[in-house]
Amino acid sequence: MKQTMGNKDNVEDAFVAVIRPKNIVSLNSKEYKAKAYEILLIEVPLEGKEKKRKKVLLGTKIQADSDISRSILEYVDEATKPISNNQGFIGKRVVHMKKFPLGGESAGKEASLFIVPIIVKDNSKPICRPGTPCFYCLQDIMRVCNETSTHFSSITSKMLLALDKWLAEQHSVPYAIPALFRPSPAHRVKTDVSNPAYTTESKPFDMTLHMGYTALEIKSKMMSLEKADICIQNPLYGSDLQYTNRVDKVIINPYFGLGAPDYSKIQIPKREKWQHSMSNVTDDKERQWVDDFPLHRSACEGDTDLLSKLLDSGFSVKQLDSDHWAPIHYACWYDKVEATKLLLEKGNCNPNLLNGQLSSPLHFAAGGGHSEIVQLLLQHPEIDRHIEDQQKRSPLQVCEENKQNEWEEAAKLLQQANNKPYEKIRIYRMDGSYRSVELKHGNNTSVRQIMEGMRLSQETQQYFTIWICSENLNLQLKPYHKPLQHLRIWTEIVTDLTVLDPQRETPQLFLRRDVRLPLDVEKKAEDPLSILILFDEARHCLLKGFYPSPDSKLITLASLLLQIIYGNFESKKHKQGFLNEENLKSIVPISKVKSKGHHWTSRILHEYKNLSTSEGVSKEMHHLQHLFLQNCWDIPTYGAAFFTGQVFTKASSSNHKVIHVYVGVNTKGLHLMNKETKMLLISLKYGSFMWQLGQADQYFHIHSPENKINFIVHTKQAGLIVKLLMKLCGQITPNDRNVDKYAYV
Amino acid sequence: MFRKVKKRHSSSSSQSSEISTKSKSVDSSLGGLSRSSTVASLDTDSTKSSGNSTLDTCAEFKVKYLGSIEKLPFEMCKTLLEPPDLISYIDTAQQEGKLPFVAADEEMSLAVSKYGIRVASVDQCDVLQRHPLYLVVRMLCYEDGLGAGRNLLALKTTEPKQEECSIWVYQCSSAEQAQAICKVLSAAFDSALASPETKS
Repeated sequence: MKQTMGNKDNVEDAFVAVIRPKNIVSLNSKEYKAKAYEILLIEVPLEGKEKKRKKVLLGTKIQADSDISRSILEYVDEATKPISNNQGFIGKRVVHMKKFPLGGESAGKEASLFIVPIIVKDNSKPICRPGTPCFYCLQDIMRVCNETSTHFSSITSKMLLALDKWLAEQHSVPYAIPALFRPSPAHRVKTDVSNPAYTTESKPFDMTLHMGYTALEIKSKMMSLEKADICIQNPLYGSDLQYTNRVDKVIINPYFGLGAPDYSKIQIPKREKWQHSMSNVTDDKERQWVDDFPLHRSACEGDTDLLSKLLDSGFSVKQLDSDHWAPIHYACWYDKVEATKLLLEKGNCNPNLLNGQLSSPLHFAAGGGHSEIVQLLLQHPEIDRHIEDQQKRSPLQVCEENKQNEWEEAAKLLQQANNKPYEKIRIYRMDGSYRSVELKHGNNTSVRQIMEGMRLSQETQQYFTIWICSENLNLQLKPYHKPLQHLRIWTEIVTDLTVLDPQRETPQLFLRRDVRLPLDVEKKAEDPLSILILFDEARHCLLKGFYPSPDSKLITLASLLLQIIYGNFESKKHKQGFLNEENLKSIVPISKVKSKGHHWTSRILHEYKNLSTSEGVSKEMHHLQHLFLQNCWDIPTYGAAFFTGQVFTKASSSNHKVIHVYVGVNTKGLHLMNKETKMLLISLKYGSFMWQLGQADQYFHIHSPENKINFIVHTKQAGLIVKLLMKLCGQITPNDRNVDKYAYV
Repeated sequence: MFRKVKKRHSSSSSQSSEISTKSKSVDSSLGGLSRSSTVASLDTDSTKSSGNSTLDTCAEFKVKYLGSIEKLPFEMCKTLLEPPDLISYIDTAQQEGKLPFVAADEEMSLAVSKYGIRVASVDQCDVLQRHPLYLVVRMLCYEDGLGAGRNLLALKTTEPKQEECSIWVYQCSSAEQAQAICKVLSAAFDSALASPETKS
C-alpha cells in the first residue's frame, strides 16, 4: 500500500553507529571493554533550551530499494569530512544491527541501526567543533546512558544500549570482532577467475568473443565435456553365467546357544581397535594370499631374488592361486620384466599358460601395453602368437582395445611377429629320417595341425598319427593333444607311468602307424609312401624283437629283407660268408642274431635265391615291401602298442618270481611278451578273455575261462592299457574323449 | 597391501577387458605450473593465459572446506557480480553465523581439470562435491582479513536451469596455493575451448 504512494514512502530513517577501536590489541580481546572503543556522536541543541545540548547518533534517510551499504558509506564519508581534514572516514563495512520502533511524531515507523566499523584510532588530534560529529569514548558514553537519560535523544539511548549489548555478544564469538574490523572487501580481493561462458553476466553488453567463441558456444563446448568418453558395459550381464557368491570370511559367533551372557564381565574394546580390525578384513585376505602363494607374490612384486630362491626350493610355476592365476600372470600384469624372464627361463614356465579365465601371459602383457614383456614372450620359441582368449580375441586386439602404457610399441611388436618364420619341430620316421614341421601355435600346436603340416596325402594320413617316444615309453597322441606340452612335461609323465629314471628318457615325436588302424584297411594300402612308412616301422619292430614268430617266418622275412636291401641274388656276391653278424643284425631280430642267426644263414640265402629267381614275384620295391607286410600281418603282435609291466608267478609257495613283460595291445587282442627274451607268453583274442582294472590303476586282472588263464599285471600303465583294450575291442567308440590325466591313443 | 586393486576388478569381470583404466593423478605440476609456483604476476584474464591450453590432466590440491551457501535465487546472484560484493556477502554470512570464520581441520582434496572441480576426501574414497565446468560461474581468491594470512577461495556455481546459484568457500594453505588453483581453473576454461568439436 505504501509503495504505491511513491518513492517518498520508501525512504527510511537510518541511524549509523560509527565505531573504532582505540588500539589494535583490543580486537583480539575476549572480554568486552567499552573503553576500548570510540563512537561517533553529534551534539545537537536540546529543543527549547539553548544552552543544553544532547548527543545523537548520526542519522540519515535512505532509499529502501537502493544499495543501502553504499549510501551509508557515502554518508559517513561526507559527514566525517569536517573532522578529518576533509578526508572523511571510509567505513570498512555496513552491518545492519536491527530495527527500532520510532516514537513521537514518527510513531509506527521503524528506524534501522547500522554499525560502520572504521580503522583504529590514529594519533591525529581530534577536531571537535559544535555541529560536527565527534568521537567519544564508548565507556564514558555508556556510563551516562540509560532509557531516560537527558544527555541523549531517546532513540539514541535505546540504540546505544543495544549496541553495547551487541558488542559484548560479539566479543564472545571467536573471530567476530577481528572480522568486524577486518579490511573492506575491496582491499582483500586477490584473484578473480570467471567462466567465459558467463561473461554476459558481469558485462551484459559485452558481446566480444572469447577466443573466437560466443558465451553460448563456450557453454555448449563445456557441456559436451560432461558427456561420457568411454562407456563400459558388463559383458557378463545377461550371459546366464552362474553367479557364484564367494564368501571372503565367515565368522561364527562362538557363544551362540550358550544363553544370555554376564554383561558385567564383557569389556567393550576401544573404538580405534575396533575400527582397525574392521578395515583389516581385506588386509587379512591379502596376508593369507601372501602366506599361501609366495611365488605369486614375488612375481607380483618383481622380487627376483626371492623368486629365484623359491624356484630353487621347488615351488611350481604352474600353481594357480585362489584367483586361478599362475605367477607368470602376475609378472606380466604388473610389468615385471625380470620376474617374467626368470619364470620362463629358470622356472621353464609355459609361455602360453592360461589362467582360470583363459587369458594368457601374452594377453596380459599386450593388454597392459608392457612392450618389453611382449617382446620377451614373442622371442620364446614355444610362444603361440595366435593365441586367443575366451572371447576369441588376439593379444593384438586386446592391446589395441585397452591402449595402456606403451601399447603402440607393443602393438608394433605383435604385428611384426606375424611376419617372422615359425619355429619348427622334427617329426621322425622309424627309419630315422625326419620332416621339420612349422609350429604355427607354438607349444599349443595340436597333433591335428602337425599332421596337416606333414603334407601327407589324404590316403596316407589315415594310417598314421603322431607318437611321443623315448627309449622305454611309447605313447600315441590324440588329435587334439599338444605334443610340445607333452615333451615339456615328459619327466612327469615318465615318473607317473614307469619306475624308470626320467633323466634317461629323451622324448621325440614320431610318425607311426595308428594303433587303431584295422588290418582290413591297411591291407588295401596301395600308395608307395604309405607302404614304405608301414614297412619301415614293421621292420623296426621285427628287428627289435616285437614280432615273436616261428623260425620259418623269421627266415622268410629275413630273405625278403635281403631282396629289398641288396636287390636280386647274385651267387658270386651272396655266399655263405656274406651273412656275417653285422649283416644279420639288419634282417633278423636282435635276440636271434647270436642264438640262431648263424644256423639260419643257408636257409635264408636259399629262400633269397628262390625269391630272386621266382618270376611270379614283382621286384618293384613297394611290391616287395607290401609282401613283407603281408607276411607280418598274421603275427599276433603286429601293430600293437607296447606297454611294460610285471607279472608275479608262484614258483614255489615261499618265493615269488618276477617276470618283466611287454603288454602288447592291438586290434586282435592282448599279448604278453617276456621283456628280456621277447618270448610270446600269452596271446589272447578279444572275446576270449575279460579284464578288470585294479585299485588306483596300479594293476589289471586278466581272466580267460576257456584258456584257464588267470593273471595280474602290475603296472602304472594299467589305466592306459585297459582303456585301449576297451577301445580296440569295440566297447567304446574311437571318438570318445577321455578326461583322465593322460588319455593316450 | 601388495596387489590387486586392478586385478580384483578384472577377475570379477574377467570376461571383459582385463585391463582397467588407470587414472592419472597429477599432484604438483601441470604444464609447468607447480603448486608452489609464484603467481604474483598472475594474469587474471583467462583469455590471455597461455601455455596450458590442453589441460588433459588433473591438478590436485589439499584444501579445507569452510562451508557453502546453497540455492540462492539467481536474481540474488546478480547482485553479487563484483568481487567485493561477493566477499561482502560471505563476510556478512560469517558475521551472522551462517558460515564459520575458520574452516575445520580436516583436509580435502580439491581437483581441477577440464571436467570441472571435484572435492573428495583425502583418500579419494568419498567424492563430496562435483562442480561440472560449465556450471562454474567464477572463482574468487581473497584474504580472510583476520590477520593470520589465511586465503579463501569462493566458488560460485549455478545449476543447469540457471535458476539458482550456490557459493562454496574453501580455505587454502597459502596465498600461492589459492592463486595456483585459480590459474589451473583458468587453464581449464581455455582447455575446454581447445577441446575438439563434438559431433552431435
